[in-house]
Formats: sequence, C-alpha cells, structure tokens
Amino acid sequence: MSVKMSNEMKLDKFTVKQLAEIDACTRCGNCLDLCSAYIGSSDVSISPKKKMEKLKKAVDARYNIFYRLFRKKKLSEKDLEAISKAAFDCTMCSRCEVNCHINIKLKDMWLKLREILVDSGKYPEILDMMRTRLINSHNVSFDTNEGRTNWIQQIPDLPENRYIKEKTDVIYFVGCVSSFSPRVFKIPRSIIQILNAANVDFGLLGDEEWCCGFPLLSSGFKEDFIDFAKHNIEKVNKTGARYLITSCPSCYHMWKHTYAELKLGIKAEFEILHVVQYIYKIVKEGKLILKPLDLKVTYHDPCDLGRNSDVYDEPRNLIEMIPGVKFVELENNRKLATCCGGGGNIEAVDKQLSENIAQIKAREIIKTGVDIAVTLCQQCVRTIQQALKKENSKIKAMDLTELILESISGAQI
Amino acid sequence: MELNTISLWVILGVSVFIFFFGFFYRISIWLRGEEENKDDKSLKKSRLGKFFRYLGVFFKGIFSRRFAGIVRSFFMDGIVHRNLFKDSILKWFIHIFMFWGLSVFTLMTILHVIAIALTPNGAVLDSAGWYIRVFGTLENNFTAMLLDLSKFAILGGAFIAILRFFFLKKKLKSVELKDKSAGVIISIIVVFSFFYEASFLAKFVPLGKAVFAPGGFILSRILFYLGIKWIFLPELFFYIYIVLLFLFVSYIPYGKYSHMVFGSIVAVSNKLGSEQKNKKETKD
Repeated sequence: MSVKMSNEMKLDKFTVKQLAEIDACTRCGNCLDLCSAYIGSSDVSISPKKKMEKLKKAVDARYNIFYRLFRKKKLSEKDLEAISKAAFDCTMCSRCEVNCHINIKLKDMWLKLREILVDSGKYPEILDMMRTRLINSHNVSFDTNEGRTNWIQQIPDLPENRYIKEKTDVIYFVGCVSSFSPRVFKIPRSIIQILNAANVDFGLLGDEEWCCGFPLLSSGFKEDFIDFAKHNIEKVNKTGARYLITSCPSCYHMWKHTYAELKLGIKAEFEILHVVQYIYKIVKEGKLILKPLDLKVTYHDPCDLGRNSDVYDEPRNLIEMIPGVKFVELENNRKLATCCGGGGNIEAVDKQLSENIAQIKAREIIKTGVDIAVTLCQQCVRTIQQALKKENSKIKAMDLTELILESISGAQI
Repeated sequence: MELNTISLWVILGVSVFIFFFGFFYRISIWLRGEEENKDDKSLKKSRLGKFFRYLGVFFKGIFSRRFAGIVRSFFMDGIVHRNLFKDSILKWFIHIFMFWGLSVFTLMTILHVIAIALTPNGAVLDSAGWYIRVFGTLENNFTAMLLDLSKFAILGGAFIAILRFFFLKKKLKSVELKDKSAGVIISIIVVFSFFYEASFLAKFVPLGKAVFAPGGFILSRILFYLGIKWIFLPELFFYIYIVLLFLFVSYIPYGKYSHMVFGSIVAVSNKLGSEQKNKKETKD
C-alpha cells in the first residue's frame, strides 16, 4: 500500500469523548474474534485492539507528561505508516463494537481516524483518484452522471419521462453501484417492477442524484461529503415526496442517520426507508401478492442495514411470507453477521483482503446448504457472487428484491 | 505502633497530589478534542470553557428525570460491569475480584493511614474518636476483615487469571503484558500488606482478636514458629506496603492503567449516550 506522508497527525480532531475512549479502552481483545479484517488477514496489527494501542501511543507521544519527559516525543514514520495501514484496511462493518465492555463507538473512532489521516496527508494514494472522480462526476464509476439511468432501458413499458418527475410521492434513490455496475442492474430493475406492480407513484432523480457521499466520508473526506449531502436533500425536498427509499444500505444509513446527525442546515422533509421496509409495508397493506417459490434461502445482513441501522426483522419477515420458501439463518446473523468484504473502500485499498473476507462469508453460506443466498445490498451481492463462484458453489447470490419480483410474477427460479 | 506522622502525611499528600495532577492532566488532554457540536459558535473553545460545560451537562443530567437511569447505569455499568458478565463469567470474576479488591484495599489503606497519622504516639485509646477507633488499628474487626477480604479477592483474581492464561488457546485474547505486570505488582503489594498484618498481629494483638484477619493471623502463626523477632517489622512492612501501593495508584492516570479509572466512567457515559440517542430517534 502506497501511503502519502507529510506532517504529524492532528489528534485534536478527535472528539473529547473519543480521546476519553482511547484512554478507557482496556484492550481486552474481545474485538479480535469479531474483526472481519483481522479474521480475513490474521494480521493482528490491523485489529481494533492494536489500533487502539497505536492511538493511545500516538496521544501519549504528543501529550503525556511521562512520554515528554522520559520517552520519545514523536511517533516514527514507521508507526504512522502502521496506523494508516490499520485504519484503511478496515471494512467499517462495526462488528468490533458489538461486544465492547465499555461501549466504545469504534466505527465512529475509525471514521474520525481516517479523517485525521487524510488531513495529515497519510492515506493511500488510490483514494485521491476516487475523490477526484466523485467530485467531478458525482458518482463512484468512471462514467459521467448523465449515465445514471442507463440501466433503465430494459424495463418493460418504460414511460417517456423515464420516471423522472418534478413531483412524486416516493423517490427511489438508486445509489451508484446499482446505477453503474451492470452486474447488479437487475436490482433497480426489480424494484421498479415491484413498485409498478403495487401501483406506487414513484420517481427517480436521474442525473440530479449524486452519490450519497459514503465513499467520501468513509475515506475521511468529510468536507467534500457535506456538499453531496446538501445537494441530495435539496433535490428530494423539491419533489415534495413523502418517502425516500433506497436499495443501498450505505445510502440508507447516510440518509437516515448521518445526514441528520451532521446538522447541515437543511432538513429532509420526507420519511426515509430502505426498500425492504417499504416493500414490507405495501405487502402488509395487500398491494402485492406473493406467490409460492419452492426454495431454501438464507439471508446475509448487510452491515449498514443490520448492525448500523437495526433493520433485522423486515427482511426475515418478507422471506418467510413467501409461500414455499424455507428460511435458514446463517451461523453469524443479525448483530454478529460477518462482513461480505465489500465495505469501507477496502476493495480499492487491499483487494486480497476483501476477497479473503468474502471467501469466509461464502463458506458460511455453503454450510447452510441453501439454494439461494439473499441480501439487501448490491455490493454484498457482487462480492458474495464472486466468492461463491470461486468456491465452485451452485448457490445463487441475489438481492431480496429480485426474489420478491420472482415471487409476485409467479416465476420459478 | 509508633510511626512518624509527618512522614505519613508527606507520603499521602504527595501521592494524592500526583494522582489528581495526572487525573486532571488526562482530562485536559481529552479537552483538546473537538466537541460534538463544534459548529456552534456560541460555545467557548478553551479547555476550561469545555470543562465547565461538561460539568454543567453532568449536573443537569443528575438533577433531571434521567436521574433514575443514571443511577441504574452507574450501578450496572460502573459497578457490576454487566457487559463483561454477559460476555464471560470467568473473565468477570477475575475482573471484579481484581478491580473491586484493589479499590477497597486502596480506600481502606488510605483511611488506615490517615487514622494512624491522626493518632498521637500511635496508641489507639478507648477515649479516641470513632474514626480512629475504627480505622486506626487492625484490632478493629471491621478494618481487619475488609483489608483481609480485599487482599484475598486480589490474590484470588490473580490466581484465576494465571490459570486462564495457561488454558487459553489464543494467547492474543489474554490481557497485555502491562496489565499482567500490574497484576504482579499488586500481588507483591498485597503480600507485603499481609506481612505487615501478620507482624502487627503477632506483636500487638491477643490471639482471640486476630480471628477477623485470617490471612494475617495464619501468616503470623507461621512466622512465630519460625522464631522471627517482631520488634521493628510491623513498621518496616507497613512503610513498604503503603509506599508501593501509593506509588502504583498515583501512576494510574499516566499510562496504560488509566483504564482502571476511566473505563467505568466511559462505559456509563456511553451507555447513557446511546440510550438517549435511541430515544430521540424513536421520537423522530
């Protein structure tokens, strides 16, 4: 990993609470067995425990009176490089904080650490490329934002407005991966067909939809992230929508939690739901009829939807509402679900590590003996599909919305 | 027991000063950090300004409807350490024995040292105030027993920790070397304290009274049969034990051991913070 290096870390960018947490961490090692990156690499230096140890060392080297009197006063370049590697070799899955005895908000800590490392110029160079791409084209792909709705071509009976309306009841925020990655075009297409089947008045933002900003925030570029958040809220407010639905868990988490917490000076005037919550709602209202499918299915909780947003029941309820479907839980589920390896920009920074983590997930899925592994994240679908293929498994990985579409159309997979 | 009261006040005073200096120095490091609502321009950015604001938040919490929740969280997260209990009963036992053992042992030692320093010529008379009669001598059942129990708890915790370490497959999941060294240091202090107790009981206390300090009593019998003369030993062991203990405790805020003090504070504060956040989100 090539890392940019310059001045010292700006440790005073940590919040008061975070600096207290660094002191309070007992480094008991409970987080070790939960850390996806550590499990995937067996490299203890990137584990949460070691990261906290390094942070304590960094804070002490800068401020601690004992260090200043008797030990070295500055971290070496090697120490800094190790901190940077540990910070960016993280999937941001937040599994490490599930079992923390002193309730440390570790994910917030890692996000802030990345922000500090970016500020100090100590981050993988490849992230610069991603940032430039996002700032210029407002999406994570190499395409211009005009291509955001190219996936829509295959939709049957496509209206002339291509669902881009000035006023609408529901806005479907598609997200970058669904919009630009052909491998998962099926997901937004399924969602549109489901919404049409339920006669929902919905619309898209088209090229006015910008990336939710998650890749920027999770890479430490918080200042740039704010522009993206403001733009998106403004555009959706203009449509007068009552609901905003997203199919990407990270977009959902950004909209539902991060945008609200940041006090951007602009308020979202609509309810934010993940697609699964909205579909569950309309199924309960009787607007969609689910037909039988003879399948054995398991469900992978995406980190940003499950652990980070507490959405666990709706997907399981929906799966179990499909007649004929036998649902099997993964060994690690809900709060303890393992990461798919696609989070935290880790694919860009350390592809091998991302693949190792995905491989562990694939093996866990294979153990269940299911026909299909469903999830609710296009990134998870992508990584799990690839990993299952590598394991020569016949299990299909798909989004739950694809399964719902199969069910309402009465098709057999 | 005749001790130089000035030396006791000096040892205690210096230790308390070093401890609290370190404690507030740590807090002053935290206060260098940003605040959650850092964009609010009306807020003072100085460390002192932040300190008083947090103090205000703390007292506002105490005198509010959240009082019952704060007390509950203080008890469950600060005293019982429920997350650890849910995770592993064995680890909880080790932790509770060591943590509460050390806390009670330190507190009782401080009270004992103050009482001795307040006692003229080291003689605890029946006419002395209740504080000196209770804490000034190991002849008092309450003081003797609490000191003994806390020491047994520490040694018991250390013993289980050693056993656990040998049976642990993944050594990485064990505590760090620094924490292990803390366990060793505390155990050494406890041993010196037992020797102080034993020599004190052998020299001053009639057999019937020593029953409330079983550790010291058994040790005193062993040493007695070895034929050791007790003339100066209680004083010597007493000084070694208090100096080592106070040195250890005053170092706590400066290094890795700071989690012993701050762990519980952060656990309670984070628990209350997430409960409040959840409530707000449900309301929204």
